[in-house]
Amino acid sequence: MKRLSIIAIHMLVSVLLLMPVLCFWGCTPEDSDRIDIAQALSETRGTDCFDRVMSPRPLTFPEDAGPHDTFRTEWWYYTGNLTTDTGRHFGYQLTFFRQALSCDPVTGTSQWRTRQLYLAHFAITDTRNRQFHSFSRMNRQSLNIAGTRSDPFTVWLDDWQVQQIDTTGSNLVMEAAASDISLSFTLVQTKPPIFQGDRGFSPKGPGKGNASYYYSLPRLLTHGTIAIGEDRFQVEGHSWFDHEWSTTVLGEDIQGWDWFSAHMEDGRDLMVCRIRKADGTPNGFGFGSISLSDGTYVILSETDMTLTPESFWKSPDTGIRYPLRWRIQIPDHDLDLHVTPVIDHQEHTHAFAYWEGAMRFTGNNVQGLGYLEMTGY
Amino acid sequence: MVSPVLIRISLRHNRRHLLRTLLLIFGIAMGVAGVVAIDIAKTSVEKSFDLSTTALVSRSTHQILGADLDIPQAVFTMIRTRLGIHESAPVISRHVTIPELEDRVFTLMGVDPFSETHFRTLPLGSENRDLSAVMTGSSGVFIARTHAETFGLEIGSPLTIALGDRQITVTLAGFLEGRDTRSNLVLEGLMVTDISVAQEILDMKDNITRIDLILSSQDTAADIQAHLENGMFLVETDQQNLAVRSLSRSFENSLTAFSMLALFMGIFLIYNTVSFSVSRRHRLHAILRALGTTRNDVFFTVMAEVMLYAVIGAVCGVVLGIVMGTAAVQAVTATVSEMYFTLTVGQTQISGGTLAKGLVAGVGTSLIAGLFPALAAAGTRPVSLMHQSVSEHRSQRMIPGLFLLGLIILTAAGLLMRAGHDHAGYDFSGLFMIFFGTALLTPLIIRMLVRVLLAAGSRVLGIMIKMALRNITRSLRQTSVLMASLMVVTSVYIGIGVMTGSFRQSIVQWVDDHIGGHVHVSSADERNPSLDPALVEKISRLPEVAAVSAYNIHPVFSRAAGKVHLFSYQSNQSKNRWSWTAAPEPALGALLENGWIFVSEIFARQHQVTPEQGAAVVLETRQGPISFQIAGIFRDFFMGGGRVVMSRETMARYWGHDDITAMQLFLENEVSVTPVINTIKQMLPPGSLIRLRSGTDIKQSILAVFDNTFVITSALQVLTAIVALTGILNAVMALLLERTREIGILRACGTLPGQVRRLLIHECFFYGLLSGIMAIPLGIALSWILIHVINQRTFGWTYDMILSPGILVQALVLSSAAALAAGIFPALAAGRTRISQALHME
Repeated sequence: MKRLSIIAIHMLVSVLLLMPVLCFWGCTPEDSDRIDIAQALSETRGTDCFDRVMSPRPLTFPEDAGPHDTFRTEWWYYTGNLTTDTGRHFGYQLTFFRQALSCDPVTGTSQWRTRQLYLAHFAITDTRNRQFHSFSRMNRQSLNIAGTRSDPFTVWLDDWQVQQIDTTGSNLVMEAAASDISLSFTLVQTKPPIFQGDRGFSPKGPGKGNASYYYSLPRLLTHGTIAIGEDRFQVEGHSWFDHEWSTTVLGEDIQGWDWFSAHMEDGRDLMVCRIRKADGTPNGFGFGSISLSDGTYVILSETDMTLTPESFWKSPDTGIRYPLRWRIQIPDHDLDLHVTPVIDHQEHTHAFAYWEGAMRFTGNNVQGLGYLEMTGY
Repeated sequence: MVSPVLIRISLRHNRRHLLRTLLLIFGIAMGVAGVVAIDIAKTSVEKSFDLSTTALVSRSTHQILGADLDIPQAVFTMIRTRLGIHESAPVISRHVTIPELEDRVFTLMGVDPFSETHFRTLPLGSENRDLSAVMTGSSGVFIARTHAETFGLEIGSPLTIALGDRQITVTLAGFLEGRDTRSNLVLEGLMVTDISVAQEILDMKDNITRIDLILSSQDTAADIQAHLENGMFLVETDQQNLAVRSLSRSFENSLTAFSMLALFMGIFLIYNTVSFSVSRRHRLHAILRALGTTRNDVFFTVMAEVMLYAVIGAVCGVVLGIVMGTAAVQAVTATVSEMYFTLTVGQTQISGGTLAKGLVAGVGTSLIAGLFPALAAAGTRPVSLMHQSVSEHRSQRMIPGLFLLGLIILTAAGLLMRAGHDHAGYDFSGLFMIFFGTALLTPLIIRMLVRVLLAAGSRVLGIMIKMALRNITRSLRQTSVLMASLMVVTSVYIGIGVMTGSFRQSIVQWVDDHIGGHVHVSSADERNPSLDPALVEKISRLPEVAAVSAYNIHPVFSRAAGKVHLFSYQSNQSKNRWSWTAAPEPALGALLENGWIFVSEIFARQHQVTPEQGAAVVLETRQGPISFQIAGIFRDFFMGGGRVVMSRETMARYWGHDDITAMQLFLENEVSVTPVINTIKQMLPPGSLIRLRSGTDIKQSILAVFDNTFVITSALQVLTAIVALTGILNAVMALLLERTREIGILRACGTLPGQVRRLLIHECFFYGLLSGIMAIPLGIALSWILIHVINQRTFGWTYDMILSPGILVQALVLSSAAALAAGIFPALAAGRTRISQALHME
């Protein structure tokens, strides 16, 4: 899983979703205290009628690649590390969230009526220039301004999009542009999906329904162009993709999580995550997976791994202190990795601040590049 | 520095003539009040326009609009997903009336909350909950908290939106509440909701009103334009606002000019009063000069005195102006709303600038008016102490020269007005020059008129009357200024009287020509104004109906005017009165069938159509911009950006409308209207939104709107008259009271008090009569200018001048009566003159 779940969902998405609604249309920062957002949000209607993730079920494609509108929240998440042929490194993130406003059926005749909202984040990390470019967009699903299709798989919001270009679904194109930053990639699936948890049923807490359906495409061969201002860079590398949906994924008393993914040079791909309670301790439902070079994979649980923050960085923008350097130990797989950011400042400071950025993974006998996401700090 | 002693002497002098001093101050105050009041009205319209319109497009640089006043919503998807223009927002916007809120007009704005961040600030109050419901299915709307509190509405209260007679019930979902006064004012004119709700309320199907954009480069603009289908176009927001705003600009400028006219009258007044006051103190100044006071001292003493009254008058004027302005705002914004564009926010704007303008205008013009008398006073030579008539002799010699100068100024005025500048200021400058030029002609004309009267009446006229007439020419230096003022006032009275009379008569004529049917049938459903063709057919076949005008009216977008109305007739009984035609009238119908169009005068002006062969205008149609040839320009008083008449085929081909939205029924002779209306009522299906009105009813309501338009102009006319009459009263009093010595001599020679009184009364009567006579040609010229130059440029319509003898007689009576009234008090006082006192200087 990942990402932005709880708070992601409950705060990030919702705050972003509802903020313009709350300050109706065109909020200025001074207006944001006009209304208690969390309070307004807690009164979102009709959550009872959403489907919940209660038990494992077989995930099938292409159907499950598309949207699951009967669940409250869903995301399609791409992150990757790329380099030019001269070795210049870039990280990127393009993520799409779907949030349902209500589970009641839409009434009215206008095609603008909808209960689905989409939020997307797009970021480029320019390692050499130590620059981090981050953009956010949000819109309703109406009139195909935003949406998802399962066959051929497409997810888009405005002109940011990922689209399947073959019949098998293993070749995709990705386009996103904002300001004078853009990317245009082709992604090729090189390993079969990892069905996280129990065949894609990924518990996140002890409560009933505190789970999500979750699968990953661990290694997408990625090549294309990144443009920053007038400069264009031909790049190549690997991307990680997650698709996850749920309704009440996180229980109460959850503060946030730390999620890591890495493409190791020996062909293994790693994902680990811990979920933190309000007191900062793990809730015991940490999860992960290791995908081997032949595409087979092993599911990890919290007891298989140790995640230790080693040093902190304080954001000059938000004042939030994030643990940016980590040690990840997975003894059963002989992994003892030191994780460091390619640059420190990879914090998204939109309506909800979180840190997500490109990382270097250095181990006893292996190294790789990946991503780290931290929320709730 | 002026000696305080001199100032005190002046003030003491004025205290003895308190009434005249007060009249002087009153006159200045009235002049300033006019300027301030109109400026307040103008800046308030500006502010209201800004709050009603500009604030709502706020940060957008461009807009995508449709020829038909809406565009397909799919364009927005294209803008976002294909062109990737993130700073874009779909908008549905329309004026609606809310019966529960005292029939106030609101802009119903449907917006997409997620696109709004870049454009508008529409903050919600803290109790707004369950907002997502508005997007997913409810019909919730948001209005300003102030309205909700005023009318006792709570969240969940039902509200009715009226679109004509169609009523749609919505729910109050929450409050709009800004952080500051300005944002709250903007919100007052708004009813905001999600775009989906607005689309359903207005039954717009898959259309929206416009897309707001923030574009940083012309390349992007060109790219967008290239992607738009025919019937849609990109406009620059500022230019579009200007086009709409310009509709009423001339009207407002004309008001300013009228207010300046009042102040101009004030200059006459101040000049009169100060110069009388100075000449009255001729002896005093001569003595002071003999005692060693310098020219400068005398000059500055007079100027200081003028300054003092100017400041008092201007301050009083500003205060009065604020009171009058607050009242004027109502009238002016109502006119602008009815005639040009809807103002949903009525805001009285009293700026420091306005008040400063009033003060500067009052003090500045007073000082200018006081300049010549002050120079004259400073030029007083001690030796002239005993030679009072020196200056009068000099003045008499100047009369031919003045006449010549007057002619030159009149010629210059004519040239200025012919030049055809679009700004009302030029026309009014020309008008001032005409007044001034004519005023310079008056001494010679008066002398000639008096000679004619004396010659013609040498046997008939009594000695007192002859004396009175000769007295007028004897002191022409002073009487001519007075009579010129009276002439100007009277001519303004005639001019405006003839203008409004002619205008009203033209409106009546126009109404009869265009909407003269006995019964009017129209749809009262603004959402869908088409009449059922079967019903049209059935009504047309009624035995009582002799003839039918059936037409469709559709508002469409125009770059130059924002909105214009297209008319096409299925059957037409109306008569156009042409300003210009490309062909003889019988041939015009054929041109129409060939796709030519007729345009109204307002349209022609707004679109800069010149009346010439082959003139064409480009209109935005569903097929893109199309050039139409103009067959004729007709006189029209239809409001807004003007209208275009075309054939049904043209309308259907380029705008896709081929329905009937209204019909007029002309009844057979001796059929009364009410039974026919009742018969039609019975033919209507239940709940039908068809409005039936009698021709008389319609005519009255149209005339009421136009009468309202002239309320403010008439008020300014009255103000002008008050200022000028105050001046005349003052001047006559000064003139007569100054003649103590002369009257003393008359009395010493045996004239009875009653004879003195009669002499003065006769004099005053002749001031008035002669001024009135002179005012008639000037008044007629003025009304011609007002109708054919100023009105045409201000409102864009022409009409014929209709001169009634009544108004001319009224003018003569007015000027004579005013002068007589002014003379009564001084005449009575003169009758009481004690000989010894009057002559003790001898």
